[in-house]
Amino acid sequence: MEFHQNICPRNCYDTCSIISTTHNGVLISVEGNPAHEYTLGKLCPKALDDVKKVYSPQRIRYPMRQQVRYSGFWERISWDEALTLIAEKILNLEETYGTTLPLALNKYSGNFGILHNAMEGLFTGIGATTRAIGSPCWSAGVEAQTLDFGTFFCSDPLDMSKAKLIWLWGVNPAWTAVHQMPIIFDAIDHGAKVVCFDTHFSATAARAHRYVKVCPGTDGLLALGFAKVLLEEGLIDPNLGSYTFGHEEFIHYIETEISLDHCSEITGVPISTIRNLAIEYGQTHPACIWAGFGLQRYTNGGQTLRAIDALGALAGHLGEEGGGVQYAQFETWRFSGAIQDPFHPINSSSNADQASVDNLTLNQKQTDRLLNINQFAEEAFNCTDPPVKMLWISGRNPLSQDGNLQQWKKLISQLDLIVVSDLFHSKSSEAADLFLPITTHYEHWDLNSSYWHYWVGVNEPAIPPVGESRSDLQIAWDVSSKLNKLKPGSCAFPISGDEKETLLRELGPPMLDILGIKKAEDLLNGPVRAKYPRTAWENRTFATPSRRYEFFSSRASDAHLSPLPIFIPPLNSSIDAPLRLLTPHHHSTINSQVYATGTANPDYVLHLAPELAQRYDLAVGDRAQIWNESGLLEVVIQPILGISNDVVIVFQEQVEGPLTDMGQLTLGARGFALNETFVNLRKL
Amino acid sequence: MSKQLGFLHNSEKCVGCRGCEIACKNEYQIEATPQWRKVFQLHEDDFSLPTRMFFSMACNHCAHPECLRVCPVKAYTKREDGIVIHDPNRCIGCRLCTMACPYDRPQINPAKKKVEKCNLCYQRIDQGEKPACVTACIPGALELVEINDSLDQKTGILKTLPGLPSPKITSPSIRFIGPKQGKQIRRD
Ligand code: SF4
Ligand code: SF4
Ligand code: SF4
Repeated sequence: MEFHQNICPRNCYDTCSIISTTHNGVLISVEGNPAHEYTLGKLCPKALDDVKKVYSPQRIRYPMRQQVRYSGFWERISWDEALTLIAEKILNLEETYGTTLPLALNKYSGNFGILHNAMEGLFTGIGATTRAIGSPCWSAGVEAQTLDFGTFFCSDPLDMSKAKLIWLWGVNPAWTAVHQMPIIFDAIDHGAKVVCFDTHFSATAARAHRYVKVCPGTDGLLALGFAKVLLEEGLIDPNLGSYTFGHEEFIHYIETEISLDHCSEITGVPISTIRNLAIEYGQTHPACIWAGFGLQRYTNGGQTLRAIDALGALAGHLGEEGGGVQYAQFETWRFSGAIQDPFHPINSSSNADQASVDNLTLNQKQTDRLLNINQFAEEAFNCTDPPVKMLWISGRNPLSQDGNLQQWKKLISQLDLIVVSDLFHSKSSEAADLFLPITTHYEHWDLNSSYWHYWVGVNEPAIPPVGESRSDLQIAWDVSSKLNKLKPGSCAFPISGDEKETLLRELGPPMLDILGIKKAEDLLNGPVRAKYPRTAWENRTFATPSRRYEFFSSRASDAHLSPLPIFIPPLNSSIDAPLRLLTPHHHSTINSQVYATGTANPDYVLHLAPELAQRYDLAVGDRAQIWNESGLLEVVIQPILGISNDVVIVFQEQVEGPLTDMGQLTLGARGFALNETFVNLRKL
Repeated sequence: MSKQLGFLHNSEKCVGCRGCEIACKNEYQIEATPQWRKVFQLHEDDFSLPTRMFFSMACNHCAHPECLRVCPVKAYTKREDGIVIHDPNRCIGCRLCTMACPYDRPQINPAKKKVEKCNLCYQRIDQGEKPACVTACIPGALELVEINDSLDQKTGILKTLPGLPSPKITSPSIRFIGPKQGKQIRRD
């Protein structure tokens, strides 16, 4: 029996540390690492199912070629044949068009491992290419917190157990961060009170002392309403002057612009409730607010987060042990970025903002053609100078829904070569010419950080690659090697290397410093917690230009935003699309296509209030359609209690890829304001 | 019988993640169909407000096991510590027990054409370990306990939940901490 250290790479708050057991080179079990203070030896069912996924009979083990798209006749080919096909096509396109722009990459980071960025590195090494760019689901909130605090930072998740009052605002940890639940229960056992604010009655809300239903997109106004009560009741931190900037302006705004009547009317929360909750929040120390990603998937999302931050500041909860306003963090993502940038392989000053779109190298910004991942098929089809001729789909399944299939069909018919790299066949691979089998995190080296806790760790291979599967990094080297063999100098990405060495190079001096280790190899011994204080902003010195918490941000006004957090109403429904569609996460899967076994139930379940169902003459199990000007989706009806009559919910349960399936419907939404999608409903 | 082991399940803490279900399957490498342990959602209609509550149930190692009573080949035995063991080697797959169990926990394995069920991880218990499902539960909602009067006298310990068969039939060795309903502020 041998044991190995692995890390769950899913896009999840918890980023669990895993101990895998192998016997004669076969993975036999996975368990949570008991030495990891957040995982505490326990894994969620997604990870517990990993052994089955690794050896699933459906997993593709060899490179495959489909001579006729959609025929389903896949023949096994060798890696050399596959790589030759790819490299020859790339070189041929470059020759025909005089540029590599016809080459497109459509990749979503469902796997958050750092070495998976090799694919971007490969494309950068080839030259200017076409890229699908998806804004991460949290960017508005990141921006907001950066304006207020100066950087994106939260308290250690364990700190929450010390709170006397916990406000869970738009988060549903019971489903999306299960490891936080025992910490919250701990706080409850020590007498803490938990209040949950959400648009719908979630599994977390059911376990809170109080659930407050807030009309979608109005959370910012609610926060400002609470602030108003704090002012009226004299519950403002008397020391604000010493560590914040612009509190007078903010107070003036609240006094003159915010009325509780209006606040109550818009948010749907009764005035007496606003008053009682605000007083409790102002009087209880420590009090912690945890703000979820869902809050800022509105056009006013950034303002909402800023208003909540300001509320925490006003009441004096910032820097308080067990208090504060928690959202997420990027501080443990200061990797060197060498892998993504073959032109500057040791670029240790790279942006910490690893998961964000802003992290494009200068080279890319100048030359790459960037397409919106949400409207990829349409935009790629409309590219003419030069057209898109080759598409590489990695770690996602954009073709899974009929709604946008027409656009995809048009695009596909103009493509010379479609490559899919994945674990399993999917709707997308039906259209592909080549399928490249990739490894799971039990078969390759990787490096992982969390955006919630402060542990960073190395993922080591426990077993050799299953079948002939290869890691993304290996595939990137192989493609580069083939390109350079056929035409020397045609790709700047390395042609070979060592996975372990490559990962160690990602740990530049800033990371070593953060982790408090002397050399990168030290991380091979096990995950390390970054040397940050447990409580964010404990000495109330901030990273803003003024070194203070900024109620008033001149950087915001420089960016043509309001310098103060203000309420901007969310979008409204219309007669054509009267219902707001929400798409929160469900616990059974997280949006990482790579780990879907392809057997998921193909029906989308639409949850709605019984009363609303009745209005549309719908009963449980009925088939119906939701649609708007951008697309339509067939659904099965499931009435549930506890949602309002103007909202319908499809949990991202079997939704493969967060935006794509909903893509057609959400096109009307501005930017990536997912929760600002409005639909109509009809019975089928 | 000197004691009776059983489960204590806390619906307040259980988030319905099914970790216990999968941990059990992993431990015994069981196929998809027999579900020794299963997580159920409590019927919302049984409460005045929406609940979003779950409970997890395997074999209840009942004090008066119906499965044991009806089995024609004595495949069932009850240990000193109360664990009800099913021996697949004796089992002839007649399914009498699956019909007799009010909780539907002995399950037929279609491939083997025999019944299977939770044996309370007795081999782990004998080594001083906790059952696999209990170990896996992240929020600590599922516990291994000794069922006795002092447990039943504690406040908040329930013998059954709405929708479950009457415990009078078999005296199941499971106790519940039921949903406490918080205050819900809604305007609809
Ligand atoms: S999906 Fe999240 S909770 Fe589950 S094992 Fe992975 S990191 Fe942990
Ligand atoms: S593992 Fe625990 S929380 Fe999850 S379903 Fe089972 S009992 Fe409930
Ligand atoms: S006690 Fe063991 S056998 Fe019974 S349900 Fe739990 S894990 Fe399965």
